[in-house]
Amino acid sequence: MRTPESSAPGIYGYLILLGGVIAAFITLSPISQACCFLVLLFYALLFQRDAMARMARWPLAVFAAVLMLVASSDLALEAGAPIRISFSGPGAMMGLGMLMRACGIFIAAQIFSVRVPVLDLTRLTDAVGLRGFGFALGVAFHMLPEVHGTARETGDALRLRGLAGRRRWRAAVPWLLAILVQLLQRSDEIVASARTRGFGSGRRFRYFPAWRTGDAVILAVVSGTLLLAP
Amino acid sequence: MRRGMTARELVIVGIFGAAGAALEISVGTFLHTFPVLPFKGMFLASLLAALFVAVRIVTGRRGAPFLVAAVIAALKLLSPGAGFMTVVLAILMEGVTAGLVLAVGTMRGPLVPILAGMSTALYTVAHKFLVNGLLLGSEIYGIYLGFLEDASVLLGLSPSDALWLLVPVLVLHLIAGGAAGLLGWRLGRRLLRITHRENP
Repeated sequence: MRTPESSAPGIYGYLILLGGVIAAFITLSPISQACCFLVLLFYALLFQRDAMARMARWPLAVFAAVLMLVASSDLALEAGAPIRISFSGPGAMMGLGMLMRACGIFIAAQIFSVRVPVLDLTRLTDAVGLRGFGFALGVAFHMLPEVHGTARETGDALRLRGLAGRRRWRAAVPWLLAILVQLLQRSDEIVASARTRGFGSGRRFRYFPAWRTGDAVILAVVSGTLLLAP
Repeated sequence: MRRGMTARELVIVGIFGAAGAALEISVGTFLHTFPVLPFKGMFLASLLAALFVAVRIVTGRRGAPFLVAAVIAALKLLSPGAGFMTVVLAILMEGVTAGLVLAVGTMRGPLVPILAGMSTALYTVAHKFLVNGLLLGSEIYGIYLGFLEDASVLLGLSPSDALWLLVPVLVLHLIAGGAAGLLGWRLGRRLLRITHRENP
């Protein structure tokens, strides 16, 4: 029985979407790019609201404002004369085009990062031959909270030993060294734990993430757009 | 000849990847909230360059810096915020830049690590131009040229002379990257001594 999850796009679909958006903004005409952007925006607003919510940050608004200001300003400079700034219509259109392109790529990348699980990414990289990347990524993912905790404890220990205030910069290297040594001391138990689970036995397991109906739909739409649009 | 990394080497790569990702997510996110702060990229790239050099020394593997960069980039994908894609690309390219320099040279002296740090820091200068061209299209280069012409008129210089204004910026990047490479070399050697003492 086909479940709703098997119909939704997976890692392949979102990879194709990201690649297709970048290819569209490189190869298609400006009007086709605008149409693609509008379709992508509607798709994101209707089906990928959590990805869009993560984009609602003020640095993006500042970036957009600065870009439009720079692109639409026409500076008239003459040596010894005051600077005159005027509005440039063609510049504003060009700025709008650049902003549309940047936002389109940001949206596609944001959808990819929200929707694709780390596990699928590591499975795919292991399956295509990047041996060990998935294991290293898994180790890093699980060590992340420990890094923060170790950093905080080590910082406190160094402060107790008088390396604070103006002398804090002298503690930077010992601090970094202490964090890495403590983390590396755990490496042997992580290796032993991995080996008891069969890692490094020499056998390779090729497990490609499943191809889904949604992936086929995205592939059809993206390839049709790139091939047929002017 | 050894072909694949051992489990211990991969764990070390994972640990360095976690440390780099923690730096990027904490320090990087803090710095990127101030859009007008200069040399953010140089500072972060230098920190990562030190890690790349250190992991190259600790594992002894030429591929370790590339793998660490890929792990950091993958973990950065999980952190929120628009515009992160340029940072992910920067991390990957910094890993490739440092890894290539570290792969062709010897780790006996500090020269190659210093060069690796310098090349990583210098890449951040090129990164803006390369990524903005991809993100915003080739029209952005016209805007950059316009800036150069306006700056040269304001300062009374010819456009080719205005390019010399970039020299102090490049020198600063070289110093920061070189210092980071040296730090990574010393860090890596100390880590190797400590870990070998515990696991002879």
